[in-house]
Amino acid sequence: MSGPILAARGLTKSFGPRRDARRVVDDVSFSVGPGAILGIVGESGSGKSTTLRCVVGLERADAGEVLFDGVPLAGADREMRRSFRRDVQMVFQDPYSSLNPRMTVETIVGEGLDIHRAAASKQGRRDRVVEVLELVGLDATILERFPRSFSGGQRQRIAIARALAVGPRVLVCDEPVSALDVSVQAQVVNLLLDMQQQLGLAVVFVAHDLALVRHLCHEVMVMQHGVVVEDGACADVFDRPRHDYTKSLLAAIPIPDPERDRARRAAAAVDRRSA
Amino acid sequence: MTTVATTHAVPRVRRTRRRLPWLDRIAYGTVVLLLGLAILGPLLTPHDPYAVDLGQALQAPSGGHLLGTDGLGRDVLSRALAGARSSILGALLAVAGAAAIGILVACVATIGGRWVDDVVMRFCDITLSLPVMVMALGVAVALGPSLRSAVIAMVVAWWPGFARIARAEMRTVITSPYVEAARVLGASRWRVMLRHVLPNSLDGVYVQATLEIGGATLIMAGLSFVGAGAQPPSAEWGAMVETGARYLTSAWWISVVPGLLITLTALAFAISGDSLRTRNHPDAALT
Repeated sequence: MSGPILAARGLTKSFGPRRDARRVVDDVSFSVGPGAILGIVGESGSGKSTTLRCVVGLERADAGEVLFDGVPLAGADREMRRSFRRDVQMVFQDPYSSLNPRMTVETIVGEGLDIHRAAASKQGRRDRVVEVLELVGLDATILERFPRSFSGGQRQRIAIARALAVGPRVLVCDEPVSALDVSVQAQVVNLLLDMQQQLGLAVVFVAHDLALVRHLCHEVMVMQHGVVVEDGACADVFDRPRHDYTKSLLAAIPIPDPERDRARRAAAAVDRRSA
Repeated sequence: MTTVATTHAVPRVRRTRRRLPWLDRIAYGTVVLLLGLAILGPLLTPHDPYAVDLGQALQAPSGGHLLGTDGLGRDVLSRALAGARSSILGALLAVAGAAAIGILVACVATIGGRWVDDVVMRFCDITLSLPVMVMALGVAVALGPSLRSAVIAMVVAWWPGFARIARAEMRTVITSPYVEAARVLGASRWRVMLRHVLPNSLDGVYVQATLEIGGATLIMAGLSFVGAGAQPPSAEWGAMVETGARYLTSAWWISVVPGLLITLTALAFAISGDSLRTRNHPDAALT
């Protein structure tokens, strides 16, 4: 069966008072097949994150539906919802706030196993936790430690381990590296790619770094003001953009000339700070 | 303007971190001392606090009775020590009870959705708009004056304050990414509440509780003073102040000794609570 694992149809979400609500996500549809990586790009506020949040159920969409294995979740039975909760996992943007500061690494990573009663015993749970920790490049020595003693990169690895522990088929990532130091971004991206290939995961990857998306994704969807302005195979969209917005995004990709690039990054950093 | 404020703030905060101000240290020390007194006080009494000896009535502080005797010849020092237990533990119990109920209500309000939240919190607002003393007095009298009624009355009058604080903190915590991560994993509402929200929302409640113990001691004593709390023969600071009041001009020590202890307790807990608060949120020190 090669239909999409996860799909969205006509997702719409507004925020604010009913009279002048702001449509943050407007009629967004997409699908991801097994083992495929879909990138969602767009500037800040274009509705990428909200789209993801609607898909995983952190926000309730005003309209539209999420399909899991071709079945609409809205009408699904308990069993189906349960397997959705297990098969679709998420990695958050900021690893400094996505780990409970009062839980040890073992309880953080093992929580999904507890929730889904996936571990037969305490030892079985610990074995599985160690297994995923090793998968993400950490080891059993950190089991009893708390999040505060880790760097951003390590924290994000722990967050990825938490998502992988229950053996998902889809990984939804909301800008998983944009809160990290530039020096560890590549490591985490490669880890994600590695996991995706090893475990055959389908991945939905939200980012505003287009170079990253180009490196990572098979398909890409460009969003602006809550609307999908362009989508298609990654190579097509990047090499032959049809929409003006896509073209301007592409024009903003860093130039591989350290001097000019540095100047531009500095300017961008100043902008970001004053914003 | 903002730059000036920030540069001013930094050294102050640092100093608080590195070394406690002397006042805070004294307050913490006094709190420990008072707690020790509450536990051991009744064992340290030089005389029987309830032994009436009319021949010894109204004696000024002397070698035999270090803090003098009251109108019935009972040793004031012994009664003050014996009273530490009911006065301080009573206040602790009242605050602990109020905090526990407040936290529970906050949990229900947070999980229950908007409608439940609105009803519960408006109820808290109404309760909060009544003066604690008046409300506690009413409840204590309705229950029949006794130390137990006083404690229950204070719990009834005090829990909404804790519910507010706990709910405010829970509101923030429940939107944090680690809570969302748990939801994506499929955690139930109760699991999210108990494992993630609750343990991360209690700092403010602890601080507030410490801060309120001082006030609770005062109200406790106040209830006893007006006759709605501990009843006359029992050694309780508020009741002692009341019995001594009629001798105030001739035998001041009967009221002044327990009065000073009440003041000391209220101050020590209030300053400790405030110190905890500023250490938890350094910015609060500047307001």
